[in-house]
Amino acid sequence: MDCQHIQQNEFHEEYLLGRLSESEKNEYEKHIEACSSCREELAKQKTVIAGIQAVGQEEMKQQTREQVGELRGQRKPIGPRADGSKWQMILKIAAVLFIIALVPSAIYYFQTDSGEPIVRLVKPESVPDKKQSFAAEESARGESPSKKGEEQPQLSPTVGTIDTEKIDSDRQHADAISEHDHLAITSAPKMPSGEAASGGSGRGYGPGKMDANQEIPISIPQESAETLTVQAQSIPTIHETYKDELLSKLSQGTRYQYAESENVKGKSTRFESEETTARKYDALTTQELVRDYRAGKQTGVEKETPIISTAVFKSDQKLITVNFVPSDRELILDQESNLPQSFDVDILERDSMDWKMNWYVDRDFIQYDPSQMQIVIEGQTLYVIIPQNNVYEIAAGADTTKAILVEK
Amino acid sequence: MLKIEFFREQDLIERIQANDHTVLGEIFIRYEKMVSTHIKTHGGNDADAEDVLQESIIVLWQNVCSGAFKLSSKLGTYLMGIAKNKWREQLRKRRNLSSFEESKDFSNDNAGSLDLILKQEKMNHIHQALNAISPLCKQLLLLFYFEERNLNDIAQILRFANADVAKSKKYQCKKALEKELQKLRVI
Repeated sequence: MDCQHIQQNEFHEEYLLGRLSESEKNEYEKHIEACSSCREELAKQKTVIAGIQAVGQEEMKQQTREQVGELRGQRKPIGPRADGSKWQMILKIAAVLFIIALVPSAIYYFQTDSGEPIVRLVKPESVPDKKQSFAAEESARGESPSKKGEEQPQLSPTVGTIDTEKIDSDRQHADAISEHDHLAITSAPKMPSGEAASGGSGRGYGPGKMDANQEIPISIPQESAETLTVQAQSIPTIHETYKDELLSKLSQGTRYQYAESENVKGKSTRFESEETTARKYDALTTQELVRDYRAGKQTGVEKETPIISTAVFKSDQKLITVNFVPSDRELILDQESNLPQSFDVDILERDSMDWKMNWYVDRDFIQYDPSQMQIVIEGQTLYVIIPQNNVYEIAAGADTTKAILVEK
Repeated sequence: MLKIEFFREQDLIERIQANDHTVLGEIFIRYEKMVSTHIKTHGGNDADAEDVLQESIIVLWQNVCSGAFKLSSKLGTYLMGIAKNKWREQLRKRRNLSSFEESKDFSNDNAGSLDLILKQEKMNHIHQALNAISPLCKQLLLLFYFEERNLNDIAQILRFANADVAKSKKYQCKKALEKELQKLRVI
């Protein structure tokens, strides 16, 4: 080996990258010991290659930081985050508090479907006295409530106080909901001048001319447009809302077609239930069962298996293996389709070319022929389609999850 | 409806092989918690965990590109193995450094800092030189020397006719880089 040979064959960099064979390496090292110009060249190459590698590392770290920042939806890329984590925690707490505050209001508004007025009355302790004095005044004027009702809107005998703060926030909230097209709000027209004069603003219940928490005895018209109501207007169900999205997703996803199936005790393609010894394995997790099975232990599924049948779905050489395991759990059936509304799924492996899953299903359910089934993977979700286009959705990221009937 | 990220590790490997750098952030987020928990329970902090995970991802990337990696276990297990080794290495370095600092002569205190500055300056020059050559050359050199890809892969990624073209292009690019480095008196 001479200098020219080394130069021509790029032995310096091959040596530095560890790509020389053992004999070449020995020969090269022997030459380097004796050759100063080659040692110089080696040092130069070492600087160049180490420099490229260091720059590559730095750039890759920078790319990672930027991507993580983007994926987390932050403007600032990742980095030292003593402050960041603190703020994240504060934001999380704020979000939880917001949800806690929002849910009761939402429930409150949905209750108005029953036709109850949205104005909430808080009966003061002194109501009986005021009511009595009101009635006494009426009788002193010689006017019965019904007569008065002919001239003015019918008044309820109910007397109470308005929680003005609550009303105002309720109204604002109701306005916000109507913008989402789910609810239509029949806005409250002006209060009769009498009420307005007795403390109401132009809109009747506005806080502008009322002190917060001020207790004012009022009469609420019983059947009048004066009542602020919230009416539901054919709110689409989650199912309907989801349908289009689901159908479009299914058209884009990767389809795994049925490939083969077998009964674990033979090659039968019949899919009928048989008595199993599942209960014996209750104490074992699915993972333990599979581990034992692979190790060929007596406790394994091969000897006394809770698995009734196995089906394989195939797509581009990638496989999904589904073990149908009878469920002892009570399944809630969908009234229309008579299918389970959901069933449990254990995902055993998903890191190699194939997925392996255990589906804990009702015996009736598994009588469907797997060759009539399809599995679709779209982005983040796995869908199972059984005959007549009944679709189950599985959150595939979890180890133990549920397949939920989403489309019939 | 609950939706959790659906994630196939084989897809990740395929994306690395195809030189899809957008997978880096996904890998980081996917394994961040796992690595962070280990580092923090073994004397490290968030910043250490981030460094270790980033370096582990780089090792994974290089192993996949060089063909040294085969997915026979969970990717997480593999990455965790690298991260554990990296962290052990770091701890060992820190221990050595602290024992050295305890025993060293403080009159030489500036020597280490100077080395560090010179090294950093050299790095900056190399970065500058790499940016001075054509982007294609820079990518080719990074693919070959940093990612340790073979010439066939490089030819495919950079759409050269074949590995021989990639080899001769690599030679030219390296010469161009050396020229820039000589201008900057790095070599």
